[in-house]
Amino acid sequence: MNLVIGSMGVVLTLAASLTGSLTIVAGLKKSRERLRSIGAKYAWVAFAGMAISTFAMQRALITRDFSVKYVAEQGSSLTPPLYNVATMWSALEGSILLWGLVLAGYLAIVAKKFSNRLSDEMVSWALVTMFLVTAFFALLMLGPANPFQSFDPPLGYDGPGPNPLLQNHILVAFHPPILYLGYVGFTVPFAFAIAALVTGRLGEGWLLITRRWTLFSWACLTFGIILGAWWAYDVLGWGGYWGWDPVENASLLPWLTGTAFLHSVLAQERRGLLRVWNLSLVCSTFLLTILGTFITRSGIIASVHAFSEGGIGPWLLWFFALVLLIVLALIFWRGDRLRSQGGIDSALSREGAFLANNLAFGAFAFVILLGTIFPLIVEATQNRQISVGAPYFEKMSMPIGFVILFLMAIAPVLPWRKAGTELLRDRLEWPAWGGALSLVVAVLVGARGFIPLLGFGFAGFAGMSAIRHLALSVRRNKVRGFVGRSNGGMVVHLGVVMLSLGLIASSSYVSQSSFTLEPGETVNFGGADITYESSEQIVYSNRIQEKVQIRVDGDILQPSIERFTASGQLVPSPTTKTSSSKDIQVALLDPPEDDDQSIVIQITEQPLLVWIWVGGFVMLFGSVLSAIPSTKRKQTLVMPNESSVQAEG
Amino acid sequence: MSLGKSGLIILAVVSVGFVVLLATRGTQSNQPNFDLVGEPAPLFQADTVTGGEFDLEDVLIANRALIPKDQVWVAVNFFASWCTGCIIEHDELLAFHDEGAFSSNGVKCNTKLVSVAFNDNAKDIERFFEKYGGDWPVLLDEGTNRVAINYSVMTAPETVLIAPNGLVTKKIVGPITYEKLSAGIEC
Repeated sequence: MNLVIGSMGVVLTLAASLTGSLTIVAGLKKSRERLRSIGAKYAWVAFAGMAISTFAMQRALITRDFSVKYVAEQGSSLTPPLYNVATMWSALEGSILLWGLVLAGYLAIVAKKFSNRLSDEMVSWALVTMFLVTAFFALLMLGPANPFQSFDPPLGYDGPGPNPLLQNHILVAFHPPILYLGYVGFTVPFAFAIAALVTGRLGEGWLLITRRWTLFSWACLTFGIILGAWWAYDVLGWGGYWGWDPVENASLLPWLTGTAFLHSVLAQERRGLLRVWNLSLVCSTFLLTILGTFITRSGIIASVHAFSEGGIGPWLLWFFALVLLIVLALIFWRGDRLRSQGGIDSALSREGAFLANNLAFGAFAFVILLGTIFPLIVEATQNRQISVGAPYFEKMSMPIGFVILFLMAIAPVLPWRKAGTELLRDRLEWPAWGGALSLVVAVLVGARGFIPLLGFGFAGFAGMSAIRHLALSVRRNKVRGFVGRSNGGMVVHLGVVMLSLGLIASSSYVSQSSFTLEPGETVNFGGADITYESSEQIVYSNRIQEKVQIRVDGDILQPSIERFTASGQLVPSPTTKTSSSKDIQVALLDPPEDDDQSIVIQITEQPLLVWIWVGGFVMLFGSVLSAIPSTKRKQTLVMPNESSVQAEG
Repeated sequence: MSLGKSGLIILAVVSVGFVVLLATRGTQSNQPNFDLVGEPAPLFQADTVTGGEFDLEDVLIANRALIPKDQVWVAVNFFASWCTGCIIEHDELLAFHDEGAFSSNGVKCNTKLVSVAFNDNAKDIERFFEKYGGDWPVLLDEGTNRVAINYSVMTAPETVLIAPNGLVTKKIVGPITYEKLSAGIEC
């Protein structure tokens, strides 16, 4: 039953997407608005199809319908309810279904939002683009990533359940959907960019239309990445939160180009600059989400976290190649209209800073893409296998990160066009004091080392620049001084500063040690008294938990090791004592055989680590503030008018 | 032709090269298999840190010519110099390497210990062994983690015990003890 319903949903989405796109194209060719309007309505049918398929999958998971192969392979009667829902995105086919659902959701919302503007060719072409992308994902679900294949379960069959690592943390339920909202959301600005190229209306119109969509997607991607790091930190137990694994890099790549776009778009809106660059960035961001999925799902790069599944690789690669070809051809075709109206007058200007920012983010993305695919290049040219590990990424990303922090301090104080040195000196006074103060405080609390201190200095510099901007804005506009794009952006900058402080401190001053403790024994680690109090064994439906009670400076922490019944796999569950100044994470490495036996624990202490997560929340909050209009009057979206187009041509 | 257009053509050529590179690389099946126990051990061959080579197949082929008492059990230990659990279990590995394992009837069995570096580099591994001792073969598997992937190893330490007939008899996730590793070895 679930098989039939689920498959029908996918077919419905495919049919609706193709019909919708063809109807709109016909409407465009015959200049009949009614056809376009009918075509747009198919967006709802496409969404309904994905909703039906998701319903069928969830129903199959909840009722343990093992006649669905995906449920037989990933589900289990022992999986607790929340993780059972999340099982939908614990393997490839279900992840693609989630992708399809989110994509069709965006498609339907775009169709609704622009339903009264279908006379505009740009909106119609954007819908066609989105329909075609949706059709591709529906095709994947009928081909190499079919979530509704049948299985003939033997009597009494029970599935293994999802990977145990995906069953012991609440964030598993939230990290992937939020990340997907970000990944998939970039389809909207991409669709409008394609529409702008097709219609030749390459002014600022498409940017204004997609501004909030881009911001929303970026905020979701940012938050999704940070939740992923948080999950890794909480689950892995050695204080790590980022390993430069291809899977992690794949999520960072579109984030970097997306962040660059959010900045450079301002230079185009304000001064009509960087047109080709902005189009390229939006298209690159979309392409990188596809490339990232290809890299992590094709098995082309060996990674312990990139388990390949089925024959989806070639499909994704050819889709990537096709989109790349179309984008390049369109830009080539529209090359003449893409010339910017003016140039950058002075490097010492807001637009100059945005250009530098974009170069930094572009370099960052290039460095990571190169590091990720370099093993393939070497393998192809020299026929030997090599790896690019964390040291490369750390060495390359650190200076770029510092440049970005520096630019974060400078750019907000720079005026458009040209800045005089006197003005700059005046406006940078606060930020400079902020940087100096941050450096002095860091030295006073015992921070040492040139690179981390440099980082703290830059962070203080950038932080105070954002505070200065907000303080001036609040003085003028009271509470409304926090909202609007530039003010909200400064709140995001504050979040980035907090995150940077957390990253620099936690990676530079990490200390780790392991101890064998008898019951009642106390050791001192980094000034904290650590006592092993007692242990207990708890039997759950799907696992047995060996839990110990450790007293860390008066607080009880309960790290455990869990043995999953179905796979026999052991998964450590560390616990963390968090404070604003440091995290102490305790992982149980060896549980006691009996109550009076010794245990082995590993303790990791990292200063300021919590600020990484706080910074992530502040970035999200700042994104929300950015989306609120800064002036009281209701803003209406400005569509590009023909006169400006003619002026461009 | 304008500068912009020639730039685009260069970009197009690079893109084609990029796609061709990706399209012509072999893909590997990385389907994880956590239930390795009872199945044939994935074969592997890799260079050791000291410049030698280890091939599991050679050991298993040699076993066929031996009487059961002389056949070799292979313990494959996945470790990393950055992993604390690996430091903890190192004394136990030293004991396993030096003392070997005993059958339930008290006969000493032939065992071979091989370590496979997980997300690590040669320099750190050498330092690790200089500090903690041990002179068994250490395979680099550098960067590719191919051996680790074939054994569905998610993190270090993990240890797999392979019987002389080539079947995996045990997979221990987390630090081992001498007893845990040597229990069940019969010859």
